[in-house]
Amino acid sequence: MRKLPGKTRLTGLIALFLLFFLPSLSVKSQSCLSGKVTAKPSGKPVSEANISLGVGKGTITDLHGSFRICGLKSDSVRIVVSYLGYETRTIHIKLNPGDNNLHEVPLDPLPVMVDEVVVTATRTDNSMLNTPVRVNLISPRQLGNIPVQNIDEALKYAPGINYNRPFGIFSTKANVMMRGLSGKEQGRVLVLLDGVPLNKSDGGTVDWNLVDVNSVKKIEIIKGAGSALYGGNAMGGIINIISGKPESPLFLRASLDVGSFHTRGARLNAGGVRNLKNDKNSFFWLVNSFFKISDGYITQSEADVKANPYIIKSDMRETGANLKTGVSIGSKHTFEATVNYYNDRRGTGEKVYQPEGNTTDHDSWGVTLNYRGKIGTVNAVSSVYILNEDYKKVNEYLKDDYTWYDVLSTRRDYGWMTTFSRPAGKSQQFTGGFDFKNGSVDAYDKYYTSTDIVYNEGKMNTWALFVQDELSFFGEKFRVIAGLRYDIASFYDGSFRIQDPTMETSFMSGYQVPEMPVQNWNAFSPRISAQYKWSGNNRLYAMFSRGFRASVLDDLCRSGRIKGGFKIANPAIKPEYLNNYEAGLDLKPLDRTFFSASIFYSRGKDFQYYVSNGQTIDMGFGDRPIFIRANISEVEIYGAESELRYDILADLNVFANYAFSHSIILKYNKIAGNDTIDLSGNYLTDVPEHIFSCGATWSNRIVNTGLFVRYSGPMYINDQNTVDEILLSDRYPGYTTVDLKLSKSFLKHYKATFSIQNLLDVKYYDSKYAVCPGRFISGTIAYHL
Amino acid sequence: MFLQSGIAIGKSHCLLPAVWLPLFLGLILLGSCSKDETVHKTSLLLKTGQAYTADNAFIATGGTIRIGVLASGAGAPLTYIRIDRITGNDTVTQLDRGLFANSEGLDADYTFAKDTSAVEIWNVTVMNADRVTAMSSIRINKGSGSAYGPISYFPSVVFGFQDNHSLGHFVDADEGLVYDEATVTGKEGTIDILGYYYVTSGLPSPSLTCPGYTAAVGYYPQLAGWSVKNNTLYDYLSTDNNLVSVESFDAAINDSLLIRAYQPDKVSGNCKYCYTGKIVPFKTMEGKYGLIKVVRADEAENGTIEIAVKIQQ
Repeated sequence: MRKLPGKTRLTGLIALFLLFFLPSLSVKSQSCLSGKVTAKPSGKPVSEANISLGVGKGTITDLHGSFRICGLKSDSVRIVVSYLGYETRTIHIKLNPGDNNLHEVPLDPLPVMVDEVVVTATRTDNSMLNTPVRVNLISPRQLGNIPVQNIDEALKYAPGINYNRPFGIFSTKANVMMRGLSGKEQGRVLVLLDGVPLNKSDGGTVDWNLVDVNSVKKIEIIKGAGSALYGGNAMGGIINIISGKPESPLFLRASLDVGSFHTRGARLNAGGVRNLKNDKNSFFWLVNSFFKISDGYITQSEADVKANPYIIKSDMRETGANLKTGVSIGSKHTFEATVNYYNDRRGTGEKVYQPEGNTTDHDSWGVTLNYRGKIGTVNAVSSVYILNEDYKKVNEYLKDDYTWYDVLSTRRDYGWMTTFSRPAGKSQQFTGGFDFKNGSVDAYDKYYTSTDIVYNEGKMNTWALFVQDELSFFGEKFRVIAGLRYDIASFYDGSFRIQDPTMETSFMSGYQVPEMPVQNWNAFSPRISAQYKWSGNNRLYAMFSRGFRASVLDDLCRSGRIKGGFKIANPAIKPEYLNNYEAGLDLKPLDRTFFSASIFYSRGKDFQYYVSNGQTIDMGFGDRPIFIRANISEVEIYGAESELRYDILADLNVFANYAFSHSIILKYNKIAGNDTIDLSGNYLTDVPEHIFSCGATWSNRIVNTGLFVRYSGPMYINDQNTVDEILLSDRYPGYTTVDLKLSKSFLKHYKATFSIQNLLDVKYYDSKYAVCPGRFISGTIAYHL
Repeated sequence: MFLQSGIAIGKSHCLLPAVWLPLFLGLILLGSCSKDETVHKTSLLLKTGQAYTADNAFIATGGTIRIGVLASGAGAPLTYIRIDRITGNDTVTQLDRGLFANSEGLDADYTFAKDTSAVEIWNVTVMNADRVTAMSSIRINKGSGSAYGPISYFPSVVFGFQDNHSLGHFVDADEGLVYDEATVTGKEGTIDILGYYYVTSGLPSPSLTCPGYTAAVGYYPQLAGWSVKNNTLYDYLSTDNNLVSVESFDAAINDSLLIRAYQPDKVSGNCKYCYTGKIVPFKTMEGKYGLIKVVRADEAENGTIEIAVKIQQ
C-alpha cells in the first residue's frame, strides 16, 4: 500500500482526535421534545428540515413537518432548526421531565435579494441597499445550490464575473475578475478571507484552492474601485469570503466525495459554541479540514501528445485544515484566532525522470488574530495576520538534452488592519483607520542539470490611512458616502543575481542587480458615492472612485523567461490607476421580483504592460525580444451589467444576468524607438465582451435542485490582437456551460449530493491549446450530527 | 464514518481549546520536520590509453582531441557534464549537457578539434543531483603543422518533409544517403538529419532536426520505436546570422571551415528557418563536423528540401 505523505495525514489525525474525545463526554437527564416545522407565509409543513440539539442529538422532520426527539438528559437545550432556502432558527428551551412540545416552528424564507447587512463595502456594518455601491452577495442558500469543487466557482454566476479556472480542480491557479479588466491576472481585484487579504505581494495571485468550500458562509462582491478603503489590488473590486461560525453547542459534518477522473475526497467540519459565566460570555471553536486526490487527465493538445512522449495526466492531491476559535465577552468584545494550513501537489502533465514529473507544490499556513468590539461609542475592528506560502515547482523536460530545475519561492505577507467607526447622531457615521502590510518574496531557481542558481528577492512595506464619512438625509432616503485613503509604500532589499551561471542562464548575467535601489511611491484614492432611495428596495446611485494596483514584487525584482521573450526586472515601476464612474439602479417592480442594473465608465492610467526595450536576447533557441514591465498604457473600459431575480415560490427561484464590457488600450507609449509594436486601439486580453448566466433552484421534499447556465463570450488572446498560431484565431471562442446539482437528505443525519459540472461536455482551450476537463461528475455522502 | 449518532456530550468539552490548539500547532511542527539528507560525492575519471588524448599532448591545429569520461554520482544520479576549453583568459564551453544517469554512471567519449592556440586547458566538470561537482583537466599543446583533414561532399541530397510520401525522410550525413520508412530498418543508428515544415512565430520554417530531438517524434512517430537515436547539433546562430557564406561553403576542400564555423555554445538539435541559401554548421553525434547548404526548401508540410552536405571523413 502506498504511504501517504506526512502532511496529508493531518485530516486523518484530526478525525482520530475527534473520535477519541467525543465518547469521553458524559450524560445527564431524560425527556422528549417534539414540534412541527412550517414555512412562512403559507404555513405549509416543511419536511426534511434539520433539527439539531447540538448535544449529539438531531433528526429531520417527517412528511408532515413533525419531529420528536427523546432521551434528552439535560435541563435545557438549544435547538437549531434549518432548511435550505430558509432562515436558520435557534431556540432555547427549558426541558421538563417527559414530553415537551414546541408546537409550531415557523421558518422565514430567505428572500432572493434582501437588504442584507454587508461589511465589505464600507468596512462597517451596512445594509446592501443603504450602500451606494454595487454589491452582490452569494448567500448561504446560493452556496448550497451551486455545484462547486473550489470556492471561486461559486462566484461565476454573479453578474459580470469573468471567471477563469482552465483545468477545473487540476488548475494551479484561478482568476476571478470583473468590470472589464483582464482575466489574465488576479492582482486587479482584491480577495479577502474574513477581511484579511489573500492577494500575495509577489504576483497579486490568490490561491483559491486553500479555502474549504464547506467553511464558507457567504461571499460579498463589491464592484468598482474600492481602493478608498482597501488600497492596492482593489482596483476592479473586492471579493470578501466570509466563513461561518458554529451556532449550536456541537455540530459535526463528515463527508466523502467521489468524482470523475477517479477523484476521491473527504471533509470534516466540526465546531461548537458554549456559553461561559452566567451566559454573558461565550466561546466557540471550529475545525474544518479536507483532503482530495485525483488521477487527472491529459490537458495537452493532441499535437503536443504526439510530439512529446513524456506527457502524462495532470493529477492533483491536496490537504487543508483550518482552526478557528473565539471568545465573546459580554456583547461588546469578540476575540478570534484562526490558523490555516494547506498543502497541495498538482502535476502539470509531463514526466521524464523525476518520480512525479513536473509538479507544483504549495505549502501554506496563515494565522489571523482579530478583535471586534465597542469602546464607548466607538466600534473597533482590528486584525493582525500572516500568510506564508512555500511554493515549489519541479520542472523537467528533454529536448536536446535533459533539463531539471526547481523553482522555490517563499512568499510572505503580514499586516495589521484597524478600523474605527463612530456614529455622530442618527444620520452620520465617521470611519477611519490604518493598514500596514509587508510583502516579501525570497525565491530561487535551482538547477540540477547545470550549476546555476538564479535568485530573486524583494520586500515591500505599505502604510495607509483612510477616512470615510457616511451621511443620511431625510431619514435614509438620501445617502452620501465619501472616503479618502492615502497609501505610501517602499520597495527595498530587491535583488536579482545568478550563482555559477552556465549556458542555461548565462544570457541573463548582464541583467543581474545584486542590490536594487529603494523605491518609494504613494497613492491617493478618493471615493464619493450617493444614492436616492425612494422606497425600501428601490434606489438610484452614482459613484466616483479611484483605484490603484501596486506593482508586484515579481515585476520589480525578477528577470526571466516569459511567453514570447525575456522580461527584465523593473524596480522603478509605479502603480497603475483607474478612475471609475458608475451609476446604478435597484428595483423591486413586482412582489418577489428584484431587478438591478449598473453602468460604468473607467479610464486607466499608467497601466502596466510588457513593452519591448528594443533589444533581443538569445535564450538558447534564437533571438527573442526583451520586455520590461512599464507604466505605458492608458485604457478605457465601459460596460453595463444587470440582473433579474424572481421568486416563483418561496423555494423555487430563478435568476438571469447579463454583462457587457468594452475594454481597449487608448494610448501606448513606447520606450524604445525601434519598438515595432503599437497596442493603441487594441482590446484588453482575456475580457469577454458578453457574459450571460441564468439558473433556477428548487428546494423540495423529493430532491433539491440547482440548474445553472453560463455563457462567456470570445476574448482576445494576445496584446497585439493578432492571430494565435496555435489556436489559429485572434480570440478564444465563446462557450456555454451547464451545471446541475441535486441533493437529498435521508435517514435523519445523511445527505447525498450529485453534481454535474459542464453537463454538455464543452471543451475550451487556453492559448497553449491545453484543454479543460470537460464534464465533471461528482457525488457526496455527508453525515450531519 | 467518524462518529456514531446519539453520542452524548457533557460540559467537559469547553476545555477543548486548551487541548486542540497546541495539539494542532504541534502537528504542524511535526509535519514540517524533515529528515537529514545525505549528500553524495561525485567521481570523475578521464580515460587514458592510445585512443584518448593524453595530458600535455601535442596536437596539430585541426587535429582531433578525444576525451573519454567515466563519471558517477556515487549514489545520486549524475545530472550534468560540461567541457570547457580555456586559452589564456578565454573560456569557450564546448559541451554543456544535462543528463540523468543513475547507478550506471556516465561512460562517454567526446571529440573536438585542436584550435590554433599554443596551449589549451580542457576542463571536464560533472555534477550529481545533490549538486556536488567533480572536475578534471588536461593540458594540450599545439603541435607542428596542420592536421585539417579530408571531407566528403554530397552536392544534392533530397528528402521529404513530414507529409511527403514520395521521398524518404531519413538522412545518413556520412554517406549522403536518404532512407524511407521501409529501408531505414536496421540503419537507424546511421541517421543524422530529418526535415519538417511548420509555422513558428508567424514565419514559415523549413526545419532540420535529428532523431534524438524529442519533438521530432511528433512529425515522425516511428522514431518512438527506434532503439538508437542520434543527436545532431546544428549551430543556429551561424545559420540565423549567415555567418558562413555560400562562396566559402563552395570553396571548402578540407575540414578547416567545417571545424571553425561550428560555434558550440549556440547549438540545438532543431534548426529553424532553413531557407534556400542558408549554410548550417553541424556536428554529428559521432563527433564529425559538417556544413549543410540549403539548395532549395519548399514551404509546405508535403514539400521537399534539397541540401548539399560537406562532412569530415
